[in-house]
Amino acid sequence: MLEQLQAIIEGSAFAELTLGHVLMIAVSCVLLYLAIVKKFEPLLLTPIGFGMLLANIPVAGLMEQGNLLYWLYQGVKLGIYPPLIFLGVGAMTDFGPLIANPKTFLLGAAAQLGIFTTFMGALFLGFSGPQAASIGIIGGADGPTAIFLTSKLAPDLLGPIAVAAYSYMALVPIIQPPIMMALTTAKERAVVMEQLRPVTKREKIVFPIIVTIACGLIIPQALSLVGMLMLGNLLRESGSVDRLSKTAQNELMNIVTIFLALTVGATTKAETFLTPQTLGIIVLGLLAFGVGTAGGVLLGKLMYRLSGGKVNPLIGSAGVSAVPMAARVSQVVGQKANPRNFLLMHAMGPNVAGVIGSAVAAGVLLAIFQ
Amino acid sequence: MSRSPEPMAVGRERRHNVVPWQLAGLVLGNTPQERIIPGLQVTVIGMGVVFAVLILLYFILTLVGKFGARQAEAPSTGPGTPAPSMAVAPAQPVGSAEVSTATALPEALIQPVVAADDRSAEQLAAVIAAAIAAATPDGTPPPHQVQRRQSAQLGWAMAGRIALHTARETLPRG
Repeated sequence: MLEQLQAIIEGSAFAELTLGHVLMIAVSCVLLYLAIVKKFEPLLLTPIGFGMLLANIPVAGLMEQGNLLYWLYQGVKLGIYPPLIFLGVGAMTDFGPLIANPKTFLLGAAAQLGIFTTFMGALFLGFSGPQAASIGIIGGADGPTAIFLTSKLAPDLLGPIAVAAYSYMALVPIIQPPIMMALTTAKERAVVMEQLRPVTKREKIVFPIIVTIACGLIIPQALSLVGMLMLGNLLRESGSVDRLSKTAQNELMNIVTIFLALTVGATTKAETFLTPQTLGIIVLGLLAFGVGTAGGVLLGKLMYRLSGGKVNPLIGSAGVSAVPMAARVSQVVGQKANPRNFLLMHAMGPNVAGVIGSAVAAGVLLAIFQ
Repeated sequence: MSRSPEPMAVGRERRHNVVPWQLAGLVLGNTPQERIIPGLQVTVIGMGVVFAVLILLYFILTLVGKFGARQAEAPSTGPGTPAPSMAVAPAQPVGSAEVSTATALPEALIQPVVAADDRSAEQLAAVIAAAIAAATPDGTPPPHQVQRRQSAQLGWAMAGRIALHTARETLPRG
């Protein structure tokens, strides 16, 4: 009997528990705290945190071949989940503000400067090309895009990059305002923009088809992301497939989110997460967000000058594709400068343009490094 | 971290063995200085392609918007169509109350109207007036005028307020 008891004890996780595992379990609890109590991106950080917890309990081996998370992870590895998430995002997104003011495409493009600046920073620190590209995409502030690109170029860095990307997305209201205030004057922040023109239903239906054709022909590597984004939007705007649109926005999105976030969190094992590389990724991620915000604001300032003061530069910061948080930040900062200013719908234009821009940037990096 | 020199890019082989994205001859060196030039090249290409694609989309959507605007203007408005500031005929009074031509409707009951064209705006105003008249109890003066506000921002202001109120996340104060 003693021998049996000894076998059970030796077979338990306690026998294999290391300090790294304990640290990672603590980190997972911190993520769960941030998600549940502080409401930092709870839809993603809760399953990510729990996946991290599951992966760092030794002996269980949930990510080993044949076990539950191993099979669920195949959706990430094969690049299936992120495009499905984009399908739901497209079904939830109203591209009306962008269609009404197509100039905001430029702000969405400028904000992708964070991606490539961070790419260079990662190269400088000694990361390989594909690794640097995967780290740089954090600057797109787009979780599915970051996971999609990283799973193809640097799957060993998937855990830290996903955690960094979603954590910084949740911190957008803290990271962006100081940069926006530093790069703009009070007069610029107080600019009240003209009301956007009404957008017809026909334009909203034609938009996803045009974007798919244009992006697909120029950057076919981005088509899985852009195409699914536009399919979701077409389902929404066509008005004839409400059931599909609702499913994409709700059930499909929720199921895929659970699988994606859980398995991504489960890749953050102690031996791969607790390395100097992770610290470098976290620092570079902050750089990515900061430079992306600055890029959008600076182009916004240029548009302010060229338009004779009609464009509020604050909407440029919404070019990072953290929808809709970045647009709300523009709204809040703008309202502090002018309480009668409502920038939310104007900022949604560059915000959703940034989603397309980050997907295109990911396609470019995939084309170069895959 | 990888320190050995490596080819910068390996593109996919195409049918004609053309690799459009291969940056031939570029190699990542071991030192930061040797990595800057290839990194800059990727940055320039990447940002260039992103801008090019989005600028193309900008031009296409601008054309689509102009084409759509021309089509919307095609059914011309008649000479008798009223100006955007609409004055609607008095709604049928609910109950036996007489229509007061001098009574101004309280501000709260005047709804902002944002219409795509004059005919639909007139119809919309009529519907609003009828709905208010049906909803108000007997004895309340019915609406006799629905006017479009001068401020063009009200529609978007309301949309912004609604979006903020229904937002699930709250931004930290400070």
